[in-house]
Amino acid sequence: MIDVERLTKSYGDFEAVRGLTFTVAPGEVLGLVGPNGAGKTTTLRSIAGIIVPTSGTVRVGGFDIATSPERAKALLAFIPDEPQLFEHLTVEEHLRFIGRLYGVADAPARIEPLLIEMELLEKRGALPATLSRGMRQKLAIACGLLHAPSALLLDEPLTGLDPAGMRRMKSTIAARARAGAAVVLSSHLLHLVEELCTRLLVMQRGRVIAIGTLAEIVAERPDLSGRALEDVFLALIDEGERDDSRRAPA
Amino acid sequence: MNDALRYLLWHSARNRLRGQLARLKRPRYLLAVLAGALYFGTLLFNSQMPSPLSGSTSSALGQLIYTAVIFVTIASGWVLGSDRPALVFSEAEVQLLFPAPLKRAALVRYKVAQAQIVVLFSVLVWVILLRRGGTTLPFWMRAISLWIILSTMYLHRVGASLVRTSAVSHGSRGVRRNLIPIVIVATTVLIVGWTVVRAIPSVRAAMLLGEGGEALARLTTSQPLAAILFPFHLLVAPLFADSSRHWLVAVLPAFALMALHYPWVTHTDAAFEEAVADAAAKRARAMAATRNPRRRSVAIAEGAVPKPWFALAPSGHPAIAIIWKNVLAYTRALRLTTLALLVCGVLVIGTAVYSEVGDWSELASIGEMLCAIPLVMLVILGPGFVRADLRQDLLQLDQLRSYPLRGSTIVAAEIASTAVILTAMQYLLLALAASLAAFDSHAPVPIAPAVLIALVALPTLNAISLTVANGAALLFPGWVRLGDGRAAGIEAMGQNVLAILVSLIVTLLAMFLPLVVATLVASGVSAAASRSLNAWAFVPAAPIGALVAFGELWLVIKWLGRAFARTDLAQIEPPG
Repeated sequence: MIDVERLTKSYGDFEAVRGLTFTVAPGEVLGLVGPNGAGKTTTLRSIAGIIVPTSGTVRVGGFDIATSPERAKALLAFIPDEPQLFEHLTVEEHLRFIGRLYGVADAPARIEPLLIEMELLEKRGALPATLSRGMRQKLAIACGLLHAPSALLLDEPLTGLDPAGMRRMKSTIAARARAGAAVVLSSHLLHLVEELCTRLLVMQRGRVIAIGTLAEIVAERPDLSGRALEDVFLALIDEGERDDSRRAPA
Repeated sequence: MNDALRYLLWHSARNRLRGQLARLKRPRYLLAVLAGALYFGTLLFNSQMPSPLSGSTSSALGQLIYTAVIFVTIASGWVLGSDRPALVFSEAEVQLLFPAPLKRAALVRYKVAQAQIVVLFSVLVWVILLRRGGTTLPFWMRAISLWIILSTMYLHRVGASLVRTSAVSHGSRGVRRNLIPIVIVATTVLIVGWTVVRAIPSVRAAMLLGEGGEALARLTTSQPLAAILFPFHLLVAPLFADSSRHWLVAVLPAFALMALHYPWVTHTDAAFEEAVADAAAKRARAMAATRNPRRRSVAIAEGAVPKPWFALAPSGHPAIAIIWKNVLAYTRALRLTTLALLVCGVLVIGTAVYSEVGDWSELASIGEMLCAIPLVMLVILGPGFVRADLRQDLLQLDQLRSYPLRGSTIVAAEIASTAVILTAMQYLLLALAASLAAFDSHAPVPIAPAVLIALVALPTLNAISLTVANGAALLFPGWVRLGDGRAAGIEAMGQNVLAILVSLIVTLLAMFLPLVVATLVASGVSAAASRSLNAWAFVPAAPIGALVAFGELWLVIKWLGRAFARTDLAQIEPPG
């Protein structure tokens, strides 16, 4: 469903993402992990067609995001970590607006169940300024889910949610994956990644330092066998740092 | 001022300047700066170019104009101004300074000091612009005079907003606390309004005889206007002094007037604290609103949300959803009280004029003028003021880009949003003016062809100027004010001048071909009918000219659509 091939994004001399290649199949949940500045958000934005890659290709449902952006975007939803909402549209109006944009003919019928799922039913007539951080995040997620995307890109999806909201969000993500959506989520919450993701992609300084299931990653590093994801992650990052130091010119 | 705040002020200004200079490495910004320098250079060194106020700045009429402008600005700040403090704090300032152990007065002083950067740059620009105004004063004296005027106006605006904030947020108790300034302002505005309204017929008659200036001077030097305008005269007097000695005599009272404002503003601590305390009581909402550069949402969020003017059907072209969103946002942000006050003002003026002249034709003529002036203003300035398009939405570029629409479709929908709003307002004024013209036996232009041409020309003109404005926002996001916030500082001022100038040139260029085509068609129609060229000949020519214009715009929007997909996100930053 999502095919990324040799994706590179540069800002001047700085390479935010370097030759990234991976695929995400329908029903799969790929966890993007890495330290701050690793290039996770840049990767998600490139896949979503928000920023133009310097080189490489991104395909969603077989459509190249560069050459058929409308068809590719119609299949995906990108939910940023900092929800961007229109201040003058109410909660329900946001969903009606998104429904029209994505051509969801039965949007009115989908809106109420979604509002119930996101616990926003009572706030359907409220403007974003009156919503809490968590509610704004839920609204952004509802906007992303309304058109039942085949590919779901989530940047720190649990930010701002309360414990009940987190649990509900996790089950929503899992349900969407079970329904056949390809999910890419970026998070610093390793327990979330461990719980939800079928595969991991560990990034550091814009490049991939490990990809696969946790078992596959550990299989390549026997010294990490039996260790928790957090230990594995820190060991990989530490090793990546040493690699970078060796490569850096003296 | 507090040492930490002084440090913040200095380092912020320095780093901002460094950032702006670093941006000059990009050719397009360098080009813009060179164009700006050329513009200012032309103003500064071209002695042939007439001053904007040439011949009037030293005269009584010039002084009268300045006094009237300042009075209207200050009065409108009280009557139509915002109910929130005019001290705008950024997100970082709210988060870091508000919880800090600082007195509110220190925060006000910090903001006043910060505003001086803008004031000083404005002084520089105005000194250059008015240098050939007929005054004999040296540069530095004019600069000080202007600095006093601009600083006083800023301080007064802040003070008035603090009084309004306190009055509004505390209901009757707030009104009682601020009773004295409120009563003074209300009485002043009423007296001035009534005196001016009563004088309209006589001034109009004098203007017809070419004696308008004298009539206005008589009006303002007679009581009660003379007494009311006295402090305003004091303020502008140094700028119009004809010698250094007179300037010295005039500058002291003006300076004293400005100095009196400073303690008024900084000691309105109670009102400021009340406003902040009120906001703190609604912490989440206030913080969210303060975080957002579009602060108007606070007032709207507090009340019931108005229903949309029209429902959005679930199916249809997706671009309509963007237009719907933008029109809804604009209409929800409209201040109905301002509109109501304007309508009331027009009714009062109409009644007063009718009671004086008792002639419907005269009344209709004045009514036409009252519609025509804002109509023309809307055509010229409307695209700058109504900004329900990319100039708002570029701050949410991530969102826009993730939509399954072509870049050109999004750009076209954004432009159409403001065009729809502007055209609707212009059509309303046009309909009013045309209706009134039916009662006017001395209408200056043939109404029917003028209306028919305007019906086509207005949306076309709007589309052209809005395409230019949105194109500028897209291609030079760092040089166009995005969102509702007001950018301050040297660059912002220079940017505004440049943006207006360049937009004007590009708009005129875009209008050239349609105008030529329309004129040729009109000439052809006249020749075919064996008549001289008149307004009726332009009726069939206007739609053809409009077609040419929209053809041009179609090409430009296709190009802007590609630019939309490649706009550098790093350049999209909230103002302020």
